[in-house]
Amino acid sequence: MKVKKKFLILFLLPATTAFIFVYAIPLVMLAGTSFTDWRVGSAPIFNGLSNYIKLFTEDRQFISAGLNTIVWILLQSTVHVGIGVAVALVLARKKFYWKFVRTVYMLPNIISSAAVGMMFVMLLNPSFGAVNALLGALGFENLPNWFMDPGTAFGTVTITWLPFAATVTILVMAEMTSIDEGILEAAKIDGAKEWQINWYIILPLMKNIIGTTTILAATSMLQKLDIIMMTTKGGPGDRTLNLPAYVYQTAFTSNNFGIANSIGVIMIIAGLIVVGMINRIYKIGKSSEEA
Amino acid sequence: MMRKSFRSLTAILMAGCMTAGIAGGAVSVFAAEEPKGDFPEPVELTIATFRVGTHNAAAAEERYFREFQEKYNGIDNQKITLKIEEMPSDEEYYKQMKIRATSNDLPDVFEGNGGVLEMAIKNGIAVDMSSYVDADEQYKKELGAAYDYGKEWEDGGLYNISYGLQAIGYFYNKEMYEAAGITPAKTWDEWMSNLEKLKESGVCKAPVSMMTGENGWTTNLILASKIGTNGETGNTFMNTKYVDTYQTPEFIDGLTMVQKMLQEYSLPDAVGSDYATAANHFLNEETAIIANGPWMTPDFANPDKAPEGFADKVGIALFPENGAVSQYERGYSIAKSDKAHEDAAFKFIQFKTSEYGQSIHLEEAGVLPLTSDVEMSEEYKVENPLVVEFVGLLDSISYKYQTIDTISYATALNAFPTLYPELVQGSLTPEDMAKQLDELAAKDALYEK
Repeated sequence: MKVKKKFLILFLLPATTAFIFVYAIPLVMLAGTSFTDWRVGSAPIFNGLSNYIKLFTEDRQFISAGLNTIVWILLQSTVHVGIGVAVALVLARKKFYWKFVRTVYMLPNIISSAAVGMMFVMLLNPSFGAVNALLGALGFENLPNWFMDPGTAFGTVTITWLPFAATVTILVMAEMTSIDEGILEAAKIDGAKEWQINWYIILPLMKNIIGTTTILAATSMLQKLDIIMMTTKGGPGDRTLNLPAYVYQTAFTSNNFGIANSIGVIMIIAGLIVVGMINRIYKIGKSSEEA
Repeated sequence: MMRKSFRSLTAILMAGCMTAGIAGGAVSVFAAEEPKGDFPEPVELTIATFRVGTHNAAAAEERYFREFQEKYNGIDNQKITLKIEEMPSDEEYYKQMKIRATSNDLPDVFEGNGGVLEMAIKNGIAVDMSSYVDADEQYKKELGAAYDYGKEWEDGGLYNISYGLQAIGYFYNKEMYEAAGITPAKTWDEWMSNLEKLKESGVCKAPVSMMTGENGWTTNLILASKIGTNGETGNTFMNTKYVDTYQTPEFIDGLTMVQKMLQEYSLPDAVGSDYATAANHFLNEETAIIANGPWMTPDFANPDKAPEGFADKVGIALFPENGAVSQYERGYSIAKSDKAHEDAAFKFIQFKTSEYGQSIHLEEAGVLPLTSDVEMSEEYKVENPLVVEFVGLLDSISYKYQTIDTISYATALNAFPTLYPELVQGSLTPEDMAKQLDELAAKDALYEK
């Protein structure tokens, strides 16, 4: 027993050490310096809660970035996950096209985000982009500058990631293979239609994995930076600014590390709240009976 | 037995020959490396640069490094080796330098734009080069007025030495101008009337190449010119280091004009596009005007960028009211180190900014020299008639001013690309934009009011 404990400690030690140095210590430093006035070229000076108060009461950009992030989290955890699950249900029928569709649908997820961003910038260019050329040929006039028009920028940025839910699809499909064929057969014998099987049997059994993919999708919106930097840089105005882009701007343009770290702490808390809420909604880890 | 002895003898002889060869070679190499004079100890200098790859001054930079190493090779001069850190862009360069300025980790030679030098001076890690320059009258003369420009600091120290004059007007397509029946505008009213005539004539897709992406370069040059030629107040504004308010009549007037130009006289992709796109439109004869410096002229004759014969169609002019951006490049600075490194760093800066260094910059990258003493070669004059013409125009400048980049805090400058789209759509008025720029300027770590 003693030997077993020693081995346990030995195996846990590298991961724990790495966690302490790579995450725990920086997290403590992040939290600590979020209560300071710390700008480039000067030492941090403790200023209590004033960074947080300033952010919530005076900083118009922070509020815009926060609201945009919340909207994207909501869209991602509903529409994005919904699309991914729907595609999984269709592909699970394993019709002749399923492997082709699965591969094609996966493509945007395996291309780097920077390349996806550039691709959309080119496609939607108002002068030579394929989208406006096509719409123009169809007779549409006064076509917008999709990423730069204040009326279309948010939707255009959203469309660069919202429909591409291949990760959700793959995970849900993998989980679906664990469903006992007997249950589905029994339902069919009882006369259940395809949609009834999906709605009343498969989806409830997929609750845990859908919850997990929702967490992944929602929290990805607290990390989204690359495509925004490649397309709009948060503009026009603050219309596509999110919290990660604002942290970047605050740290590397304003050089105000104290405020940037306060936003970082807020993002961590927001992430925990999101995970907690989704856990509660889906009751992840509990069986249908327990739930 | 005989064969064995022969083999042994051959082996010994071969080994002997090889040893002699190696030793001889080593001796000759050593002899070649042996310094002739009593030079100081060899030094390795760290230098960071963003003039690499496709940067228009990459060839000049490469030549500086090569020639400097050839000169300071330990034979005819002290041995100074260069350790080059390459950065992908100037934006990335200044971001990194700013952070390194706070941790006292700057390279031996650095460029101090974007608040980097301010930070280094504040932290006491920038070297005052006055004593070096004052000790060399010839070199001081070669710097001309850039010497005083480098001393414009609170304590009067010489913390930066410029390598060139940034003078900027605009290029125009002579054929299109002729077809539209216009000549370069003398006033801003005439400028707007020219744009309208170009638009009506249909000789181009849009009259002017503009862009609001990146730092809004070509657009902001026109904005700077409108403000800088707007009387004494406007000119003072455009020559202020770090303006603390954009809510001035001159700035708002300039923005109003730029708003109209972006809405009516530029291509639809001007909003959001980068410099390369704006330049392509001009080079492909889709637009008639682009504001930019003389370093763009090599592109006009580059068959990869412009159609054959395009260079002959391009004219160059000062902005209306005889205005031009005219400012010294901030240039190079030295980070505090030991005496040997500081001395070597100065030698490098001196090499780059001397009359010879300035001529390399002119001929390889189109950067105008600090003084008129640097003469253009006849060959260069033949190949670059636009630069020659522009240098001639500089004598008739009535208004000199700086760029929006130079007068703005980084936080405000960074906001132009995101605020311009709103301005163009009319969801932001010029007054609102000026107010927002003020708010953003106040967020800069260097902001002082």
